[in-house]
Amino acid sequence: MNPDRLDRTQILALLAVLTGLLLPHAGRLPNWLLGALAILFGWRIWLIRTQGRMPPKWVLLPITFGLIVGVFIEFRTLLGRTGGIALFAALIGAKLLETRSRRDALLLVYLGYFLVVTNLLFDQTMTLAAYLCAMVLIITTLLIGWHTLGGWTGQWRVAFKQARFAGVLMLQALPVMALLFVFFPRIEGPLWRLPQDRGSIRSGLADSMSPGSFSNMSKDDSVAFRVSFEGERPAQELLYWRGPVFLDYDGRTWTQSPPNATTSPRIEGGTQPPLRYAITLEPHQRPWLLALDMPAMVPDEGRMSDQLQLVGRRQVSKRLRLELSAYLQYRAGVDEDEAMLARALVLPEEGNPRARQQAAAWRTLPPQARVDAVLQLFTGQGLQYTLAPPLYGSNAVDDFVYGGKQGFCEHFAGAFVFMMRAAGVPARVVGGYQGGEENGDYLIVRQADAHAWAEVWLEGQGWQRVDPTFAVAPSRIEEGLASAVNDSDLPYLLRLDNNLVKRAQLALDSMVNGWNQWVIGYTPERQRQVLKRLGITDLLSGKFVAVFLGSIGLCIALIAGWLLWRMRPPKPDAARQLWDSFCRRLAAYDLVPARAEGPRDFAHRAMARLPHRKTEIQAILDGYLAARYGSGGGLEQLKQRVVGFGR
Amino acid sequence: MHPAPPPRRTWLAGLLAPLQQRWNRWLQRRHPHGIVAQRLTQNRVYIFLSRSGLVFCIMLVAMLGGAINYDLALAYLLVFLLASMALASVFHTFRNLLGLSLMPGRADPCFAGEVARFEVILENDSRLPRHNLGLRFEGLVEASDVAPGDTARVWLPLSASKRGWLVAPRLRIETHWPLGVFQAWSYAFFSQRALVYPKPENDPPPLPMAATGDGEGTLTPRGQDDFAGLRPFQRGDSPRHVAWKVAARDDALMVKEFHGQAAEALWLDWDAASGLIDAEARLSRLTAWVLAAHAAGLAYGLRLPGEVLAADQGEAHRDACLAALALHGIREAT
Repeated sequence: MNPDRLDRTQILALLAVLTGLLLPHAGRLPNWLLGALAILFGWRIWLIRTQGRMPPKWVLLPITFGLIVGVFIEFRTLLGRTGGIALFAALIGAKLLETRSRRDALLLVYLGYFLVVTNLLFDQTMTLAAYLCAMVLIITTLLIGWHTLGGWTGQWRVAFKQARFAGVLMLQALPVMALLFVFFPRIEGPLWRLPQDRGSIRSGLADSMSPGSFSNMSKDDSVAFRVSFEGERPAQELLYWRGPVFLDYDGRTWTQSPPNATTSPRIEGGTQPPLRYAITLEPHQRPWLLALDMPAMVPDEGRMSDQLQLVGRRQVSKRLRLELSAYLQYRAGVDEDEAMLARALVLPEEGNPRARQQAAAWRTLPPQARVDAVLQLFTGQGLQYTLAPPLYGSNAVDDFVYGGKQGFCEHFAGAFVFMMRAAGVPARVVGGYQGGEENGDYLIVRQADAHAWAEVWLEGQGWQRVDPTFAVAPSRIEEGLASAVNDSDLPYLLRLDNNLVKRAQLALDSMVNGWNQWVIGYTPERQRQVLKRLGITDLLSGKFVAVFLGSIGLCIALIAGWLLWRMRPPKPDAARQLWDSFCRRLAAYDLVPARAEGPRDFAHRAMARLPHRKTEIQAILDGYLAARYGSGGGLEQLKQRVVGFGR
Repeated sequence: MHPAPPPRRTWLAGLLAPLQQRWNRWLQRRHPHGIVAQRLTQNRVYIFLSRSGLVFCIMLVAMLGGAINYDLALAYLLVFLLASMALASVFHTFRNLLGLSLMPGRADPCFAGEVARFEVILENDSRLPRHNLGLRFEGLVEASDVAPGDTARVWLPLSASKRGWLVAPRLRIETHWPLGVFQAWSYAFFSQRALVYPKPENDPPPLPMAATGDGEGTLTPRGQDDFAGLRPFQRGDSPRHVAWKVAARDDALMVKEFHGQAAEALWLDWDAASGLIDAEARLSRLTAWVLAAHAAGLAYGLRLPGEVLAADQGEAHRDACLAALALHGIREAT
């Protein structure tokens, strides 16, 4: 058999695994390319079935060239993520029709491993990882099959055996893989920049607040971020996760003014030490970070703005883990800039006359009393907290407070800040998240936990948080969204009832969190933290090299030892062992069996040499032949004779 | 069937030749010589990246670049998994050869211009099977598996261009199992010998049938007229005696056999092949005649300068005659 010939079953399996690896890309590739790939794959299968001839070069080259041009026209580039993958897929399809020998197929198998990586560019979830793990197993099985005599010879039983071996090989690789993962020095990317692809979906808070922007999020149960506290978890009503600050109001929409990070107000903590915690943000494609009110320190990854907002150095486009700390009691911006205070008093020229008038009447009161007056007005009016508020007109604050009386947090915060400004107290709206759901040792904060509250500046106290929603619907803050509204309107995961499905979902989220923290989120910073815990501060230190190479060397030595030990020759059977022992005893008389000398010949030679022990030797020979080649019995007797021979 | 093309000499080969010689001398010191069994011990098994292993490494580096560039933790994980699998495969590949015993076997004679075949016996006394062991002298690789506690016999071809003794060159045994990323190999210097008969002359003149022994007459042997029956084709049979009609019908090569007259002493004489000055051409003709006489079932004797084989018939006699022709003028290799 020609060892370079391709096995039909293996080519089919290769086609299957390549299809499996291109499948997750199907939504990203243009339809014409998918059609072309289907034709090329189908063509190859047809060639296998009919044993037909491969297409000649003058057919294949124009096809390949056409596909490349098509990809270029579609994506305007051959690089980039999607364009690159489209090109890669087209080349694989063309290469299939040129795959004659085992060497060509081997290249395709290697490209299969590469296709696995392209899938990771878009998604690194556990589900995809499990799927790709199975694909790696199949590719490895193919690789082993190609180096086995006779390939699969069309037998699935043989293929399964090789798949099992591939699994064993992967298991044997696990310890070294884990060590490399932990210790291999991580470099901060990117090494080169490729044209960025558009179309990343934005989720989470927007940079402006208009009616409906928060209530729309209340149906979104996707995770915004996860938090683990170093010590005791603070009470639910203290968990205000500070995000964008909305300073400017045009009568309808509150907008964030671009955060200026050149100067930031001073923050003083209370008597308690700052609370330390770690927050893992899901990518939200916005520059701001989220932090517990009020941040006690500024992380390396961000800066503090003039509006007391943490802003990242770039967009949060991948999962980001931050180590932060917060003052739960604080005084911030006591000596706030005059310009900022002036801006925090600006109102539109007209609109909401009734609210303006009522608030202006309180200007004579001390500032703290004005805050209380507005809160009392809200409770006194019987305002209701609801997920489905009516749509208000151009005088939105008047319509809400004196008319419809139904609103969501953005209505409460917006109306409150409006009336505070009308009463002469500098105020602004703060967007973010409130609360969170405990799951084991960490907290899940979902998009539905998005919340808006107010911040007022009081002489001598600086900026203080006031949550008008709390004044009206305290259960929203103390027990969460589901307790404050009719929870059948909410998605499943956000409801209060603690059923099996929800618990299973939470258990799953716990796994996902571990995956994110330890696998996906294992960044250069995380590596530094882990190594610091091992007492390694420098990647160039001798200690690091010793630990890194030493642990890997030890692992490899153990695996090598195990593999070579398994290969050792089998132990001889009991009769043979006794015969060998007999031979060792005869060696004292210079009698050593020659190569290729059987036991009978050797025994006869021994009898000729030692005639006085002829009967003994004969008995041992007979016993040995009977035990080994005959009935198999008489081992005990043989043993006695051999032992007796020594004396 | 085709003689191997002479190795191409390039300037690079010229530069590397002294290194190559040193390497060969070093190998010959490490590996035992001669017709003895050889066990592949640790110091005789070499292992290194194979050519496809190099491609594999380049691919891993490219994947690592992607992992760094896009900060893909799972791509790191995959690169490390593949690298660790390749590392583990080193020991699988190595142990596939380790402890294997190689023994030289028989060597089949052949005619010059044909392919001689050497037998090599592989013995596996370990607990695990050995996979896809490739053996070769030169280009062509013959592969075999060996089950635990079993032996395998591999016949290795080697093209023979000259008559005489063909000494097997260095034997290379290699394996790429399981992933092909690494290859382990070793050598054996068995120096097996195969006898290469002279190439039979194409279309030789008829046998020199001369009862008088003057060596001049070329009569048609009478025995050829007496058709006796058919027997299966053997190597060395004259194509003229093949029953081609039968072959076309039955798909089996049969040879027509004739009653020879044993009494008729046929002498194949060195001098009878006159008209040919070249000694090799004479040997070729005599070889063709020996085959023809044997196929015709004749008794024949062979007379060479300095060597005479008495008239006889049968395969043993034929082989003795061919051996004498093969070694004519060649000192017995010691």
